[in-house]
Amino acid sequence: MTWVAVLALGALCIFMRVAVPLGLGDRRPAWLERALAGAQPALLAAFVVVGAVGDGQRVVVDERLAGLLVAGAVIAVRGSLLLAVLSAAAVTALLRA
Amino acid sequence: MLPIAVAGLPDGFAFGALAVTVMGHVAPVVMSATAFSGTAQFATIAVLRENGTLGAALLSALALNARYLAMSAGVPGPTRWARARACVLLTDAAWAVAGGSRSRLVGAGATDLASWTLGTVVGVVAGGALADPQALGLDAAFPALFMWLLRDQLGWQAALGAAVALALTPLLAPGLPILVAGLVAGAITAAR
Repeated sequence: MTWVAVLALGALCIFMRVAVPLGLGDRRPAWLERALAGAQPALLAAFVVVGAVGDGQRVVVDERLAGLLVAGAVIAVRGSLLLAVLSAAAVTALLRA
Repeated sequence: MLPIAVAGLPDGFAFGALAVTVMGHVAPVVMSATAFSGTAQFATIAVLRENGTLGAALLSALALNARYLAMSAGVPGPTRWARARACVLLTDAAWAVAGGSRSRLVGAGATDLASWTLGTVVGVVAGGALADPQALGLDAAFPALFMWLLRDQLGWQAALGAAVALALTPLLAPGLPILVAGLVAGAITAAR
């Protein structure tokens, strides 16, 4: 069972990554290019929201949110990516300690 | 690439430490190296631990990873095969960091795969001996990464995507709110 699950999950995850690029062919229609450009900020924002307050199907407010507010301040003053990531983790850890 | 490695290692560690109790030492590492999808792997071992069926595990993985269908569609490349090869390494963080560049997607994806699999090895071996990754606040690292990448793309699509994801999180299986957020914003953009 374990190894069947490992093999099946591996195959499924790889299939879901390559199915659309293979199925689309070598050229993308113009409307799809426009849609993908519009989808990018929405996907990023959705990752932020789900990572900030998501816990499975629940919405929870915890120490993460404080850490991310600090990261937001770092980003607002054009701080580096590494600084933003580390300050988010550090503030979250401090509040949990 | 460094922030991806920083955020990916403890995630892999957490998976390895949990999975070793369900399926031994080797299977979790092979699963990390082949499936390479944190949320889907956590869901699978959760189902297996409760003696659920393989079908239920794969169905949850299907829902969790449906967002890959939308994310992989925009990866550039000269042929479908070149795009598909790069997309084998697709993850949320690698896709976000790549910003539409295929070579950056491959570099970030390879970094993510290495840190995720290495983290799994350490988690399987060290188990509960090391500190809880939650105590280090590392669950805030990925959202901070995505915030930084979003900084020059703030607009109505970002606001819409955030609102849709927040509203749908309690209603849909994890992963699907992200896909719907992308589809709605993409559809409106294309129709304008």
